[in-house]
Amino acid sequence: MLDEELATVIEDIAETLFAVPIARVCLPDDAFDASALTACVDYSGGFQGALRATLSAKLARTLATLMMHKLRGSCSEDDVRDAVGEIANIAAGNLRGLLSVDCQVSLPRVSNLVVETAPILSRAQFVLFEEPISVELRGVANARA
Amino acid sequence: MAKKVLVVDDSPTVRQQVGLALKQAGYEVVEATDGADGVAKVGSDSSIGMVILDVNMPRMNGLEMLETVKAGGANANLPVIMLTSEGQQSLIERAKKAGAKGWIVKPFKAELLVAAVKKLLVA
Repeated sequence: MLDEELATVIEDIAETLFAVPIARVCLPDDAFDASALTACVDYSGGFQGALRATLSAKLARTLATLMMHKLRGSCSEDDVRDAVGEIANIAAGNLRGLLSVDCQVSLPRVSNLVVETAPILSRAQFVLFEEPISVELRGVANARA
Repeated sequence: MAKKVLVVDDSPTVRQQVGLALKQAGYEVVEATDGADGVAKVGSDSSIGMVILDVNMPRMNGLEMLETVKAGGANANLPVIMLTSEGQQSLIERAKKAGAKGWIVKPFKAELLVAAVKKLLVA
């Protein structure tokens, strides 16, 4: 398990980028609402997996503002997503060195938590060349659009 | 005239962070969004005095850009510092072999980056 190493990486990011201590806690299941953002970086090669970071939209905007040295409220949605992706990228890259196997990391991708956990609207499953394929469509109506 | 530093990173956040730190230290900053863009900028602007280079980028990654620039005659002596979240020894050795002058792991302290740039641009 890399629990301590992961915590140390995140504490180091918080201290270096934001100059604030970060408190380690156990979050309740409903800690995030539908506006929360999830950043994901995939590992491939000698280790297959992913690092996923989820944070509230409010915190994401605060961190983006600090990282980009912008005035409060002046970060665009793209700025916020890029900053959150960069935090996940830093964490994934730092952890990669601790995995003791040669592996590659993907570029980060950022989506709304609601997308990650959205219900399946449609699913079609097949067999092709005697091998299975499953295709799903997930999503919810966006009330803000 | 301020010395010019090329910052190559696909993240606007990082370009903004690095750019601000360097501008506050008196450097002129130009930006590139990936390795291919970086190669083009280095090739078209002979006043660039050094490069700060990310590793993990789309189109052309930082190590590929480093190897391309260092193999390219006129810019072979351009100092390059890698600035990346990656700490794998194999990557560091590849960068060193290709001619990188430094390897800074993100998250970084602005003072550390500026000090490294100062050292290389004075040398």
